Amino acid sequence: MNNIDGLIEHIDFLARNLPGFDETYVVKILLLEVGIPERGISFDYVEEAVLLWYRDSMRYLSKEIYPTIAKKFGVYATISQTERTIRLAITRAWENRDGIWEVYFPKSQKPTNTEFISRMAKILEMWRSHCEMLKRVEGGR
Amino acid sequence: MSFDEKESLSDRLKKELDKKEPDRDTVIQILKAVKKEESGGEQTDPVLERYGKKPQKEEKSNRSSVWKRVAVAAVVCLVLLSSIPNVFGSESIFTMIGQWTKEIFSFGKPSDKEFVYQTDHPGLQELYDEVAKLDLNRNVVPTWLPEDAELKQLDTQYAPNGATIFAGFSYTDGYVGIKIKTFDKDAASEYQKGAENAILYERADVKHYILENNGEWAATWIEGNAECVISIKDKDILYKMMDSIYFLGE
Repeated sequence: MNNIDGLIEHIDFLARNLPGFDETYVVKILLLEVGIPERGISFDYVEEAVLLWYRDSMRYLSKEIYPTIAKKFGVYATISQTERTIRLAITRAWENRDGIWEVYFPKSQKPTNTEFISRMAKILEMWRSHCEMLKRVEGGR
Repeated sequence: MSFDEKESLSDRLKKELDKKEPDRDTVIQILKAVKKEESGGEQTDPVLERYGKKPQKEEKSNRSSVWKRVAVAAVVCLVLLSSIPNVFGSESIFTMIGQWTKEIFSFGKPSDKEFVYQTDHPGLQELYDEVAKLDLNRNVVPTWLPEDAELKQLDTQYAPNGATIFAGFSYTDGYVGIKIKTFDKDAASEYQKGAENAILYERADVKHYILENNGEWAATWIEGNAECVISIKDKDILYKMMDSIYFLGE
């Protein structure tokens, strides 16, 4: 089975079998699956960045997403620190990657912050569309 | 799987995810348990089954597509380079850099300082967003341009050993070209320079070399594995643009 088919099947599995899960839970699952370190603040930053891209359609990291995260997480968070924290979290996930990583990121290069965040937000959109499709087909979950 | 059993595993999963630091192993095991129950133990999930296993290499299937990309990139680069004289006049400043014949000068080691990019110029923001994909340690994009400057061209070419981003802006008195080219390894490279000595301009611990050719000025410098060039006819604007990279357009 190729990576795309595997990803679609996995999204179908998540949509069918996790009743009542909204995107705040699903994004955590996706980030844990690819190996974003769960310890420390970096997980929260990456999670927030993906949700801002997905929910609020923010597309500019430097102008919108990083400042929003820095503001949310307190006085010690700066924009550059936010960018660096997210970049290091992605780097760590990339360096320790297992087979799950390549399903989400088939390219053999480490993704940039933009590539990673946009990709995870896209998968979240796929999950949401799939949930809505199931609702229509099965008459609600 | 009954609704109660599914709910119980879902509750456990939610509880784990609600923790301040949810455990990856636990989450994966619960998901596997859900899958097992759903399929009666017969099927595995294609993503979860790869947990803890080494990534499979995809060299063979990618080889032909890599060479195709190289060929396409080479053709596009040729087209781009041949179009540069139309933008900048009689001779391309970028091809000039590769043709110096006399002395050699080398760049110092790059710096790792962080920078927060802010600009009011939408064209520069577009360029920055493109350059951000290269994941350089430090900003290389000016935050300031002449007020009437407009982005006319923004191209990115990827090749197996690196990428080239080129942006062309036009303003009342001429054109500005900005090129960032990455390499496989640290671009502590050597350049050959022409008869005129390169002027060393150091800002924020970065060594820039300023050269003049046929009435056009170019600034070149290294950042990590990227070689950066700005070219323009107006030397004062060139310096101002370079300063704006490090000092927020002051």
